Amino acid sequence: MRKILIVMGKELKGYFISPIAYVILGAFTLIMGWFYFNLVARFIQLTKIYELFRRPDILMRMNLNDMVIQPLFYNMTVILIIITPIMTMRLIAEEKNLHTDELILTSPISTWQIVLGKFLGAFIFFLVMIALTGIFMFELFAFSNPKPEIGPVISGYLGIVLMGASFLAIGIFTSSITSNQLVAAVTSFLILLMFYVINIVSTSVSSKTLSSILDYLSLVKQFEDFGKGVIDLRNVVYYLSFITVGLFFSKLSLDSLRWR
Amino acid sequence: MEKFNKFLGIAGVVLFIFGVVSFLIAGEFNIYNEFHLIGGLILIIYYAAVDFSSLLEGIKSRSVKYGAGTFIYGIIIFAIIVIINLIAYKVPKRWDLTANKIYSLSPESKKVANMVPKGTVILAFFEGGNAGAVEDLLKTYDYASDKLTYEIVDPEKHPELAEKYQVNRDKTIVVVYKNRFFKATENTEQGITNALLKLVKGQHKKIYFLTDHGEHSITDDSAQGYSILKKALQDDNFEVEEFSIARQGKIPSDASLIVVAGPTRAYLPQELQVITDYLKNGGAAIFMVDPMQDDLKPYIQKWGVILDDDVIIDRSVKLFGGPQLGVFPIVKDYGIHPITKGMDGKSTIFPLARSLEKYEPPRGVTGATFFSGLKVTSIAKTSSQSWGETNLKELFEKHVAEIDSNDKKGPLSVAMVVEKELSKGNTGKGEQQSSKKKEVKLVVVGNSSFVTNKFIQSFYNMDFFLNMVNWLAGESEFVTIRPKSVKYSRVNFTEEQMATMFYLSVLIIPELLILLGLFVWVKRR
Repeated sequence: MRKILIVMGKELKGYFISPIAYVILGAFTLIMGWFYFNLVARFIQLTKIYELFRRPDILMRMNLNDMVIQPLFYNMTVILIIITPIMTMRLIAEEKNLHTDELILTSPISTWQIVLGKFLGAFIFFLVMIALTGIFMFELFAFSNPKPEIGPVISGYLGIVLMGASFLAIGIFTSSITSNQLVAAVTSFLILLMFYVINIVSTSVSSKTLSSILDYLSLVKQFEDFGKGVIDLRNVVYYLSFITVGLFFSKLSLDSLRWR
Repeated sequence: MEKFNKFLGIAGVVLFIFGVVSFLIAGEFNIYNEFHLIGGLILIIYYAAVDFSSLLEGIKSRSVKYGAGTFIYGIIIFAIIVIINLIAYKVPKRWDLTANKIYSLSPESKKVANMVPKGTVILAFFEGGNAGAVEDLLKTYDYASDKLTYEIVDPEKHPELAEKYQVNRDKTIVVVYKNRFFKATENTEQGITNALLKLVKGQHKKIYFLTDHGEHSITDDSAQGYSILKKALQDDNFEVEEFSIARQGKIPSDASLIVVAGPTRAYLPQELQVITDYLKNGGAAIFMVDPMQDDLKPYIQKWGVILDDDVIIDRSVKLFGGPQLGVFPIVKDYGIHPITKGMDGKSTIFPLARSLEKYEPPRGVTGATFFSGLKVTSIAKTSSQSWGETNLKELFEKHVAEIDSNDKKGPLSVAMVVEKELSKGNTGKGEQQSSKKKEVKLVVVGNSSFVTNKFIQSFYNMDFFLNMVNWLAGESEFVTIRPKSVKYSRVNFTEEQMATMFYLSVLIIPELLILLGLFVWVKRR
């Protein structure tokens, strides 16, 4: 266990002494902040319009959860598809580049510990990035009256965390199969994109089981419940499975380096 | 050459995989996947044949051994994960964190969802196969009970199902068990739960529209017909049929309600007797009698209602500008009765109606009405500025109507309810069968065209009629479930607050981060 933490610590340090990390964090918060601002401005504008036109029926249904918080989470999932490959591309590929991979593979650390440690390092960095969006939620709750519901915010973040961890797991995997960071990033991005849109064709597919399989595999469809305020064990199991498979395949790939 | 062969071999695998994928999507063999599957196989076999030796050596090498082992290892892990997911799928557990629990079923609905027979299916007919927010509702039913499942059906892709379940409109939900099915009156939790309840308990109630006297017909889709009304009643889970006493005899025992819809010819005394027998046995009826159709006057009077010989004039509500005759009175006052419970503030319009009055039999005379002690209530009244014009000749020939001393002043009744309890039911504990309370219920309306195809969709005419039918024939909704929605929240910023907020949340953090990054970068150099 300690070995995992050591790897994790080294990885985290690697993140934060590199200027790239701050560019990523800065860009992410900037983009999310832009979305947030636009969503809130639109909400306020619509409120004013419907008050002017006296539509109490519509006004009664307008709320921050549906019109600001939930869309914000959905936008976050898309941005994460683009950003997490960049976060993970160097995790293993860099070792190969610097030829420190042989060092690591011959050290008394198991490949499993390497993979987990690096994953945890990336995961903590990811959590920091997500936590920065907390300021938007804080602001919404501080300045609104009546306040939005907190349940969907909690479930939304849980979904983002699980989803993000899945993205990271895929990212580590692609980083482990190539020594070229760019290839790792692009491949990761393409795989994530594929799993994001995999359910688009599900309505046109002939067999029912295939259709529901495609729906099930979709990373974004599994997020829907979280966005709405529901924590469904099935979605949690899905994301945990994704993480497990991704990390496991990374380990296998790292192992293969040993005997190749 | 060797490399080229290897390329062909791998290309063959790629071709084969694409062939499999396209086969899965298409569901059948077509020229595209046949080409890929066969072509792929050919290339693979070619490579294996041509370069067999190097292939063999390749297989024998250590890395392939390790690789194969790894591959199998990976497959096993993957299979375990899949199984875990399948298990989780069958044993659902979820936590609804919304404040109003909008994604969970209310306890009443949960109970009903578990009362239905196993294998019940909720079919949702939505064009395009997309039910949107309604699917969330269906999911909560699916989650709450393993006795039912749901399916979204595109009526365009499966017209035979739409026909089988009498689905006339888009966005209809039908609950089905084997050959019994009921439509949900609305796509809400209340509508679906009540439909499920009907599946558990009830049966379709039957309404017979009497014919052969010039009544409006439910098969007629002209402006004077009742075809739209028929569809509306079917949507409310009633079976609707025409019935002729003269040709078919007694009113069938499954009749929950009979309707006399504006006859223009007289009923024979024998026919009236058939109706009376049916009603005296605990039946229900709607009599709609237009002005100047006086054949039923004596008969209706025996049920405690007088049909006045007038036409109601009401000029207080103007639909269009300019002077009008006012022969289409609009009703906003519904008295106090279960039928009109939800009608507050909803208007109905009766094109050319006669007024009704309660009939008080003269003292000491028996047999003037079918029963003594009939309870007669008005359920629709015109405004106080209306009156009952008795000078019909002047009205129809000269199109003039002025109130004079003969005319009754408003408010006037356009519709009245007659009720009488015939026998008390008993629901003693020890008895298996509780005999239901027997009562006779009638509604008399002084107009029959308010629910013709021409007028039924004006104002709330349809609702009014459906309320009448449901009170007379159906059971009132078993369960009332209030709709749930997300708590409404509001945020309001002043202009300067917006600016502060923008700077604070959108700009300042990225700014700090980038500065931090610069600092780190500089420090490293």
